[in-house]
Amino acid sequence: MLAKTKYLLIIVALVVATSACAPLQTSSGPAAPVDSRSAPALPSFPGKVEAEPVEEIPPKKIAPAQQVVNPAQRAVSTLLQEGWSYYRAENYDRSIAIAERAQRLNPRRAEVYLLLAKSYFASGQSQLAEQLSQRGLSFSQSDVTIRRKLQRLLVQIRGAVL
Amino acid sequence: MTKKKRKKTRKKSNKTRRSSFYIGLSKFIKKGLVISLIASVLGLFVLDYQLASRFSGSKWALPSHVYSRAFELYEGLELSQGALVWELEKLGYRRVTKVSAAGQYSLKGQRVDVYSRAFQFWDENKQAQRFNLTFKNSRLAGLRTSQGKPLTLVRLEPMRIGGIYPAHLEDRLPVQLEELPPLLVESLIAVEDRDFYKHYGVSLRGISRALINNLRPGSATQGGSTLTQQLVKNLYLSQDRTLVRKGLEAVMALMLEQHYSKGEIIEAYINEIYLGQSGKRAIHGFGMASQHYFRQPLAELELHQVALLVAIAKGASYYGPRRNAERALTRRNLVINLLASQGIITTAVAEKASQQALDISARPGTRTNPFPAYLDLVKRQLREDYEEDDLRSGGLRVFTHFDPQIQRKLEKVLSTKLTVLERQKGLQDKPLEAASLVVGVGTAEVLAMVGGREADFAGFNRALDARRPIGSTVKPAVYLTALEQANHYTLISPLSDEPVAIPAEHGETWRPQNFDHKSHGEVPLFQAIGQSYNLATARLGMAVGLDRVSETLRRLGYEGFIPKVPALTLGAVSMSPFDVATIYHTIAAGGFYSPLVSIHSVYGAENQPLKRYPYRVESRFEAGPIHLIQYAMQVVMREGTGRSAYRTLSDDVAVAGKTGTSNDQRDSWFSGFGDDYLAVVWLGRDDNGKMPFTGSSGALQIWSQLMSTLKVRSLAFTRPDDITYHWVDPVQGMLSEEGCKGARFLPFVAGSEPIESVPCREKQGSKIIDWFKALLD
Repeated sequence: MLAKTKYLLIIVALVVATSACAPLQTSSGPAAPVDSRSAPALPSFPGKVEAEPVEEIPPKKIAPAQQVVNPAQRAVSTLLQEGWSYYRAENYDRSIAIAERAQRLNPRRAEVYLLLAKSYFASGQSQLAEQLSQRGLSFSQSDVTIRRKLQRLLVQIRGAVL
Repeated sequence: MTKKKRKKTRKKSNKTRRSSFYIGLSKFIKKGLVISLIASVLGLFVLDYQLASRFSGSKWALPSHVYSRAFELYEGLELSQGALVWELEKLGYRRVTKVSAAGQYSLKGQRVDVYSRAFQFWDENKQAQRFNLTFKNSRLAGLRTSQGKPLTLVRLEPMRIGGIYPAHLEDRLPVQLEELPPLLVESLIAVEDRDFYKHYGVSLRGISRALINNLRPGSATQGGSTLTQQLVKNLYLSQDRTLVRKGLEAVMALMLEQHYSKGEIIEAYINEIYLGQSGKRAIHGFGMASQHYFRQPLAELELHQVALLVAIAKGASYYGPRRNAERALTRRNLVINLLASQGIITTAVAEKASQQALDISARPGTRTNPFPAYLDLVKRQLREDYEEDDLRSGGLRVFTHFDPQIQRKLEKVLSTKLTVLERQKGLQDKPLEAASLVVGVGTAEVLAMVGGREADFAGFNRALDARRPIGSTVKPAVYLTALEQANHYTLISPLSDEPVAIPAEHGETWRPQNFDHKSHGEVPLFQAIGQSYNLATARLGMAVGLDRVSETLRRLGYEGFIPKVPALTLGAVSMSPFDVATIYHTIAAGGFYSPLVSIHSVYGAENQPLKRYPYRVESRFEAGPIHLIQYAMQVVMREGTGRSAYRTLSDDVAVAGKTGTSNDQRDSWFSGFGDDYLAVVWLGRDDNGKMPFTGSSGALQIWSQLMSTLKVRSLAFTRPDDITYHWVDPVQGMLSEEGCKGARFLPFVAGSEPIESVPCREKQGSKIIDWFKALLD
């Protein structure tokens, strides 16, 4: 009986250990590809000329990356706050300059493009505002609020142009 | 009698004639005098007008000064303490034990205390600020005020990186009286013109004192010119030592004093005087001299430094401290002693100042053109908005995106790695040429540029002007053209890499070959680009059409000539490294084109903002195909021709790129990017000669070393909404499952993925199960 319990415990421990080594998979993003290590570096095709063997390098996943926290996040947020206050004061020259400063620190922050697009739209540059909105949308997957704001702005810009 | 009469009459007529001659002469002289008086008065008026108009207007052709980016500091920033100190030293900050004034820093273990300088930014008038930084593992771990309060963001003022000079190469950084350090004016007056505030331009006392002094045997020659006369001579007259010139100088000095205050005159003198030479460039004025000798703004100078500049004013070449240190030191101490003897400073202060070393920077703080390639780019972009005259004499202040930290790394990697590569191939006697640039991904800002292997030599700028065939570097454009047609092409579309003959111009036939002179049968699309197969690419390019490939290059941002010939598909298009960076940036930036820019803003001579160069962006490609091509370019790096990059780069860093080799290995290219930086490297020869390097064995080696040195961030390869990932068997071109043999997880534009599934062969992980079983048994 004791031997059986020990046996089961070993099994449980090993299962836990092996599953802990497995790559984490999130529900939001697709899993990382697993390349067959035993497979040749290049696939061969039946009846076709075999590819030149390539240097053996351990295969590495190529997969969409998870959102990485930019170290400048806090600094960018502070700048954006400042930028929005200039936007509200209709000082677009300044809000644009500050948004660009924030962009330099984190070019993937969608809100940067929202501030830029709104500032340009307010100063009459609809075409550039539209492009900036689109640029912002390309970074807005993880920020639903900004995404909606950008979409609303895009509709507004296109409506104004029409 | 008659004779006598005649004689008398003759005498009389002679007398009359003589007297009338004298009368005429005197009339003539009088007239002449009046005319010359009128002419002199008129001349004086004209002189006065000219003198006043030149003095009131811009007195000098002011060069335009070019500055780097401002260094932004925030917690978490990847930055070593050494790199910060390097930046501070380049900015002319002085290391002290305890900071007490702007322009100073101190070191204590992992902590750096900084007293930054005030600076007028486009968006902020920043005051001087005391703060401290702590470092941990080459990161900025803490940023606080001197009172210990946390700071979110601090920026240092930009660094001066060069200038655009007038034809006569006078360099000058004008300063106003309020910006002068204490005792500069007093020292100048004490040494050069003790009666400055008492005379009206010319000092008789000064002249007599100089005369007496000069008559004394053994005494040094002393000039009697006042500061006003010296200024007049430098501003308006030649350097001849003639009496006429001296007279004119005195008259003009008197006139100048009539029109302008002593303050205005001394300020002009301080900005005019010649104080040294840097190569062909003449250093004028104390503002520029302070940068040249001490790398510091004039206002920060201490007494011993001020005294040295005043000493140099006596004769810049004779007392030049870099060549004649001892002579300069003696003269400097003479200036200090003179100040003490005139009661301007105490003896104790004088003694302390005299004991100081010369304190000049090891190298001139203002090199004429240390980054010629980048400055060349700045000038070209400026010329789109400014006239040449404005650039050379308008005193503009040009702020750029130039990053000195990246530039120094680029220069170092290029020179060391190039030497290593040449040594490997025994090319020391026939060195190669190189060019490279680094661009900020997303902002399209050019951060660094090298135009040749001698980075500081202002010659042919290969980064902008060497237009060379780009070889396989063009392939992403060919594959992107195909991938945009999602209903026809996916990453697993089978491409034939069999020999091909394509009709070319003039009835010729083009028969491309693979680099290894072999064909590889049918390969999936992502492998064809990954392994840079020429036959498959040429076939694909011809299938999608040269017009479309050419159009893709245009949309990517290339504006030059595109030959619409079949060989275009394999890179028979000549581009500069800058052009290649432009098209790759559009791919790196998710299909959004932005022109590559070097200038941030331009200020006028009076420090007034003139123009800003804002970020421009234009959507040129859908996110889906760009995601696919970025995937394929990662295959290049992980499994294909770029895989040797991972000998240098960390395995965790995802990068995308493409090698390029032109015919007969005349050009070695590599262009690629991570999340934050994009870099292009070109190697070749100016005579278009052959090299023993491919894109992979040459340019890529430099690129990967550069990216490793820059600690490039892993590509943020986010999945766009219209992209779905599927487990597929690329060999069969069908859906598969995770763990099946040959299965690969690949992105597809939604709807373009295969529908049929292949039966799963040999599950992965069976070995683990076997091993587990064995353990249990």
